[in-house]
Amino acid sequence: MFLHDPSAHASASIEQGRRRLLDRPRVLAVAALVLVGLMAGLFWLADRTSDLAPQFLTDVLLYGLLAVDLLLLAALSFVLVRNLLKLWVEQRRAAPFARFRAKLVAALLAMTILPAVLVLLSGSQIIRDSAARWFSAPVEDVLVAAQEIARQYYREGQELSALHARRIARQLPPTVLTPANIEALGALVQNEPRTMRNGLIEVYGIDPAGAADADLVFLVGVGSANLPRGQVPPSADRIAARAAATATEQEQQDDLPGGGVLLRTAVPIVGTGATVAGVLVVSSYLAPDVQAWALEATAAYESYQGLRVLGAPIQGIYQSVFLAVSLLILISATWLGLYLAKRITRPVQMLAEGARAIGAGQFDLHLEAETADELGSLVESFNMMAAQLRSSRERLEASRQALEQKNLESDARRRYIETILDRVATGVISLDADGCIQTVNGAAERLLNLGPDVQGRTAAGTFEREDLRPLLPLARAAAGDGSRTVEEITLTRDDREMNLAVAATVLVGEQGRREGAVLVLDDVTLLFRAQRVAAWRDVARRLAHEVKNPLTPIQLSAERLRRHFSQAPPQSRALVAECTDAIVTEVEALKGLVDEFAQFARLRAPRMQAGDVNRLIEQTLRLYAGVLVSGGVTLAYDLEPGLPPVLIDGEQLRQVVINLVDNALEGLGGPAGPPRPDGQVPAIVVRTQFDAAAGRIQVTVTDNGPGIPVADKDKLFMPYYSTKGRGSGLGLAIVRRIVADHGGTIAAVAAAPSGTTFRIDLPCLRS
Amino acid sequence: MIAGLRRLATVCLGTVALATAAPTDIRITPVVADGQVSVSFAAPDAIDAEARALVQSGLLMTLTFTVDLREPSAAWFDRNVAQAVVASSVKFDNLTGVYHVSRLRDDHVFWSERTSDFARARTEMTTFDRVSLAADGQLRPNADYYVRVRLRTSPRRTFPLWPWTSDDGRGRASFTYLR
Repeated sequence: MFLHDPSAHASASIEQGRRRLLDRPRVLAVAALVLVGLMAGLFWLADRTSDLAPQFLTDVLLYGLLAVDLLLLAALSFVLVRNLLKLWVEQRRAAPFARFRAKLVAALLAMTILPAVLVLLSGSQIIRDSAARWFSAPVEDVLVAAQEIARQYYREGQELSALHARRIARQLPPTVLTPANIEALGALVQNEPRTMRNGLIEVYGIDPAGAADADLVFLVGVGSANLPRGQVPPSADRIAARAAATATEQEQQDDLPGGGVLLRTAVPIVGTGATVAGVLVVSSYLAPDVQAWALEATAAYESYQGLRVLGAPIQGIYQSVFLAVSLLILISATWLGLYLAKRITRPVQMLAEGARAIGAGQFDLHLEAETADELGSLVESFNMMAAQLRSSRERLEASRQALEQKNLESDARRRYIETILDRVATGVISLDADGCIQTVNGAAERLLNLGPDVQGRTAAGTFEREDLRPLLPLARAAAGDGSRTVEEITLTRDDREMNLAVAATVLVGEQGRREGAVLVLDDVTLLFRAQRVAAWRDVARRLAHEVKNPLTPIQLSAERLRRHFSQAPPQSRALVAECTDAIVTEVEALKGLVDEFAQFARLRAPRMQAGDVNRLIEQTLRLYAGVLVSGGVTLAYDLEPGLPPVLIDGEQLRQVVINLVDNALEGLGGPAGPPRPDGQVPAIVVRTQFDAAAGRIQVTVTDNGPGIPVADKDKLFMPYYSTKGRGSGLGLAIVRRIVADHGGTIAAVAAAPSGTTFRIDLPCLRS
Repeated sequence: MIAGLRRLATVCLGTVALATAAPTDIRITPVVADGQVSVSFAAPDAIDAEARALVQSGLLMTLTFTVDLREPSAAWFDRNVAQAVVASSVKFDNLTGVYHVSRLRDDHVFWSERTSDFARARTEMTTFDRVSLAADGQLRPNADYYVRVRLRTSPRRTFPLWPWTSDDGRGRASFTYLR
């Protein structure tokens, strides 16, 4: 069973190839045959030990077998250590079924190794016991006795021939040992074989004519009638030569071609001068059957003794053969046990790994069944399940991708809307069904001075704040019946009034269920202000048109009346003069008022050109040199040097400064300036500052007068509003208009410790 | 089981002890004369009682002597100047009581004898006289040399656990070649 992972296909193919090789029954059968052949060869070798030379046994075979044993031991160790290490590593890595496999391997190894070791030990013991039984005392006694009998028989035959040889040699005169005396010599020895059972007598003489190495000459040979004719060699030249050369008695055994042996004894016959005159060789004949028995007895004895002497190495050979066979069995059994454990656990392990892979989201796998049995069916079912899961996964993946795409689009849309909401000047607050604030855009935070922590709080609770209370009815309306409520409210922010148009809309779901509400806040302060200014300009224009026209006839009529009554009685004349003067004075005042209104209504567009604000302020303030009196109000200026140029209409900006300084003088009670209760000197300070970061110039006019009530600060710049109870109330409105036409802003703030500061911000030209 | 293990351990230890028995000492006399470097050596203990039993069992016993003439070197392996391999073998005929002793050099028999005397046979087996090694022209004057003789006995009578055993006997004799 193989796990098919396309990504790991290349690396797995080699492993699969190796596994497949091992899984082939033919390969296993060949391996088993080789194993059986090896064991049969070892057994054959052990059986042939008796036929092999001892040197080969002890010097070649034994060492070869020992080397084979060591190699097999190393192979067994390798197989065991390798597989045990693999099991250990698998357990360390917490591989699936590692513990089960380890237990199975341990059980199989125990089932194979323990019996094999027991068989090895008992077999070794049996070999040793058998070897001990080779050398039993009765057998040894019999063999020793038989060999001794054979040896003694040989010895006796040898001694018999020696006795005869010595006796006959004493009887032979050295003088007859010449070729010339062969007949005499023959007569002397021809009867001797009769004294022997099976004997042969050969006489050699020394050729006196020879050189230093005297030549032996065969003289006479006579034998018993029982000797096998045709097989007995006629002479015993070698032993005779040796006896002649050494002048000592010599013994020799000559095997006959047709069986039997001649036990020869050569006796030198000493002549005159102690020289060897000849050699007598007497041979006793042992029949072939006797020789065979003797040889068999000796061979059995030697075999027994050889076995005894070489018992340890021969026993070692058997032990080595047995050890080699046992090791072969052990290796085979161990390998087979490991192989079986692998065969059993591998399918389950593969299924577990497959399940784990599927659990990890790897559906592109296919397990290959090795067999068609129940495990094969299980694998097929697993593959079908994996295929179904893969199909479902693909459908889910497609759905997920579509949903993700929609989510991305929705998210993009949401971010787009959030961006828009965050960028628009309209504040938007969304509430959920419970009236809790869900979202607040930047404009709403800015307008209502809310922090991001308001999300999740109830709107009613949030709007309980003092400055936000006008919003409470709208919050309640949003929690109401679903109708849309639009209101204009006024909030006070930083001592300024702010006009907001608030629309509370209840959000209703498709099933008519209330899902929340949305509060939309529009800052309409500027709009209100502009509307008011426009209204006032219209009023001013109408006043200028409707009021100014009748004033001149009124003034002319009053002057005519005064002239007409100039001749009247003094009392009447005085009355008329007083009334006409009042009329003319008031008409003049009305004309002035109408002119201011006309100026406000017809204020021209500024003619901008780059100018120096500091210089303009200095020039303007010089006009007050004749106005201020000693001990009265002090007028000072603190101008930051090096101001950048500003696009200004010098005439209009000068009017702004004059209006603000006049306004401050009015607030301080005029140029003479009544003494202050706190003892301070009434003062007006004009300052300029450059805000490099904002690129704007700030002009402030500060007085230390009584200040302006907070509620009046926003009304200050409205036309026809005055805290002085006189005048047209258009001065600050004109100031604001001019400043606005210059692209700047003006605000009135409280000065510390008392007084009022008018702050003008003008954009400066970038260099 | 335990008894079997104990027996196996005993056999193993005994075999190891046999296999690692002290090697026979070989007496060596190097001789430089007549333009030849020769060596006489004797290993009288090479044939002990067990070896005698082996011989008298009728097995052919061979003693192989490897004779090396070497020049020692302090910095490197000793240099082998010459080598000779001589062997002696004996075969006992239990029927006649005769020892057939042969001597070989480079696997060629160069001497043999039959004797009924074991002591003589042992002497012939273990004593070598003037085994020529090299011409003295191969030696450097006033240099130190040594002759090493290693003995291997065949057939072996032990069952070693380790197939590559050491020599059965060894000896060494140093000399200075004066000229």
